[in-house]
Amino acid sequence: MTVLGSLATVAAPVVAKAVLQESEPLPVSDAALEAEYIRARTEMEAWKLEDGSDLKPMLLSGAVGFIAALMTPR
Amino acid sequence: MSLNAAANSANAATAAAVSDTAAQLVTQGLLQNAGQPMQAGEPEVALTLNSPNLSPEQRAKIRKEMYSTIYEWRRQKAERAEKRWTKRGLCAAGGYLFGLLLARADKESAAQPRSAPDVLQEIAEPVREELKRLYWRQERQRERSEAGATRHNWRHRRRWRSTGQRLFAGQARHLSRLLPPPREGEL
Repeated sequence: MTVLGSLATVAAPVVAKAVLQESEPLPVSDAALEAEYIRARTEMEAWKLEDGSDLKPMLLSGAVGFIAALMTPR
Repeated sequence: MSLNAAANSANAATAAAVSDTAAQLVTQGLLQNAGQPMQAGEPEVALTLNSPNLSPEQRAKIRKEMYSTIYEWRRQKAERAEKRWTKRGLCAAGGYLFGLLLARADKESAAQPRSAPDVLQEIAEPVREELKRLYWRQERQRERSEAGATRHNWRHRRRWRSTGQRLFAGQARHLSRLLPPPREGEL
């Protein structure tokens, strides 16, 4: 359980990065390129407005880890 | 008017003109970009390939700009995801470790040998409470019956008692009349 948890902890960010970076092919046509460009600009602008706090998912992960530790048979 | 005063008024007029122009520019920029987000380090007006009078060079340049923006977006997105999942993983690991430590501390405290007085106290406390409760209940019943119990009530009261109490009710009544009642702290 501990080994699996450690592996998941290490692997999750790497997998997330790899999947997001290589998932979609780049658009070729003008319309698709422009749409993707607008989407990129909009999302990057939205990032600036975000408060950047990732507290809820972090607390949730901590709670999941805590419960997993309590449920681990000893 | 002195020379200094003339220079000051000229400076003020220039500053006012510059600020007006800046305000106009800002307004124009905002109007041009209405509905489209602006990006730091990029041209203020969003790029477009829709314009019919674009030369092939301009079109190629704009496409290149768009591709670089998209690349940057994807890179930042992946970075953010990586950061986010790293944080979540660390939190999960922290929670797991905390849970393990807590469980271990609990196990250790449960394994600690307890002293005999502590154990006796633990056993004696509920017994003492129950005895007190029973005694005061009996006292209340006695007071009630002395205060005006009819035969009818007395008959029903017997039913409330447990078997043991019923068997020794007579003796207990006699004894309670003979002996002074114990104080609350004595039980």
